Parts: sequence; C-alpha cells; structure tokens
Amino acid sequence: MSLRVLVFDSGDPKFDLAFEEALARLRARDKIPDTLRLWRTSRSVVLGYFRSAEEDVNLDVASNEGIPLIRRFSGGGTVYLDRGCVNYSIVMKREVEFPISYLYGTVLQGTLTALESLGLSPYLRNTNDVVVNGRKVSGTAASIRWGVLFLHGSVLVDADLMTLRALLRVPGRLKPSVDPVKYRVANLLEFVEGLDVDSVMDALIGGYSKVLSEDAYVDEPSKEELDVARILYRFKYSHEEWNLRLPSSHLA
Amino acid sequence: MKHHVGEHKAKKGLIRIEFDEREGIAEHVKITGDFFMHPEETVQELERELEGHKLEELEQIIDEFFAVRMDVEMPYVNVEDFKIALKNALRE
Repeated sequence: MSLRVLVFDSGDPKFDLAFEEALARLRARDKIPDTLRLWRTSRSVVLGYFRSAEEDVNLDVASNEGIPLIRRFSGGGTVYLDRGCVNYSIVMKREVEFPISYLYGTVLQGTLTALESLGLSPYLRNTNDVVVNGRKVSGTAASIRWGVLFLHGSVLVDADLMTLRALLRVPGRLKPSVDPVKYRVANLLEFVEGLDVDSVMDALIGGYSKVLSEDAYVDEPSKEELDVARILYRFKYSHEEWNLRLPSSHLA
Repeated sequence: MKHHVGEHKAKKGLIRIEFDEREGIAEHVKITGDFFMHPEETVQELERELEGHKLEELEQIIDEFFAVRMDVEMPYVNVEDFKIALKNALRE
C-alpha cells in the first residue's frame, strides 16, 4: 500500500479550511485514497468547532491586523496559524474498534516520529498535545464521520508568537484541572538551529509513512477535490455565520 | 430574564452550558468548549432538545438524549460531565 501525499497551498486560509472538509467528504465516497496533506497558510485564527470567537480571540487585534477567523469542522481549541506553521491532515478509512484511540494513540505517533527524526524528544500531554522540552509545539484535532478517520495538527516551526499571544486570549486564572502546557508554546526553531519548514514537511512525510507502513508518493490535488473545496468555500467557509457564529445556525 | 452560565472541566476539554431563563424556561441554549464530540453537529441537536424546556427537566433531557444516541462518540467526556456543567449553570 502507498500513502498519497498532497503538498498544496491555496494562498487563502478560508479555502484551505474548506479543502480539509473536501478531503474528508471525498474520502467518504472513495473518490480519493488515504491521503496525507501538508500545507501552510497565511495569518489566520482557526477556531475549534465548539469554540466561541469572543471568548478565545482578541477581536480588535484580529480586525486591526486584518487576520481572518475561520471555524474548522473538528473540535478542540483555537489556534493561530501563519506561514511559520506546518499543518498536516490525514484522512483515512480503517476498520478499528476504537477510532479515537487509534487516531491519538497510533496515528499521531507519525508526528512524534517526525520530530524524533529531527533530533527532538517529543511526548504527548493531555492525550493530543505534542510537547518538546516542556513546551507545546503542536496541537491536534480529530474528527470521525461518514466512516472516515480524520486527524489534523499544526506544528509551530517559525511562527510569529508575538502575534499569537496578542491574538489568543488565555483565561486569567486557570482551573487547577487545566494543564498550563496548553498555553506554553514554542517554535521548533528554538530547539533545532536553522530548522526550516521544508525539513519539517519532509519529516512528517517520513513519520507518517513509517507509522502507517506505507510508501509515500506525492500527488497533485484532483479537479474534484478543488471543486468540492470551492463549493464548501462558497457556502460555508467564506461566511461569517459559519466562522464567527456558534454552530447552531450553521450550514451543515 | 436571567442568564445562566455553567462550566465543567472534563478529563479532556472544558464544557460550558449557557442559557437564558424566562419564566422557568430555558431559551437561547448554547453549548461551547474545547471538547470533542463526533459527529460534531450532535451538539446543536442537544441545544435544540434543551431549548424551550423547564429548567428542572434539562438534566433528564440530557440523559435521555445520550441514552438513545448510539452514533455519538465523546472521547474523554461523558454524559455526567454535561450534567455537571448544567448543574453549575443552574446553581448560578
């Protein structure tokens, strides 16, 4: 078996998030094989499905800086992305009894293996926070629907952490049950001198093909993937009622 | 009209339930947080189930909702966590 790898950059973070959902929908219909997507995007805030924009984001900073807020279709927390982040998404079908444990317990090892190959000693905290030297370097979210397993994450390589801190709101007082590592982030560049985003992408391809025991081959997005992403962009990801509103009134 | 907000930190993920109380009835029910639930739209369905019901009925509605939803997966979060968030909101 071989693992299809897409390295695709649309230039528009809203389209990039629409493309994520297109992958899951097309995998459900067997229009595409299992796919690992690697991508970077311009400055943006990506909200977890159940997150409230007001609570997580300094909206005045986002609007002054012209940084868009986009809701993703998976749960979890809110993240800041820019071109210093390497994002990866894996969409697959597997007959497994416990899909979530499989995704976080087995598949996510692809990211850890990737970081190990860069000379780091990563480990997981809180099930799916990837930590290096006590600092969170990557967050992960999963979704299971339409018989498809979906896992995506963002790795901080050389992101603008000043902007990240200005944009994202941290609760003033953390409950004792909340692990503060969630808010102690770092770029991989702090730990590996001269590291660039391309090396991280290569490491992720290596890590995931190893964990899934599949040879990687690089492919281009299909016309259908781009078409479905365009539709999702038009009806969902370009709309503030999806991105900013809580999902009650959303277009499922 | 009174606004109720209750939070609860589950094993993984914070759950927040809020709603307005009008004459003992819950309105504008919103459930937010950084938990995971699959499929994600289930949360809106639960919001709609709770909408328009008496406050004292809400806990039972949560129980009954999840009792019959065999398609829903909630990693590291369970029905009790939602009920605790609700109780915290009712206590406000």
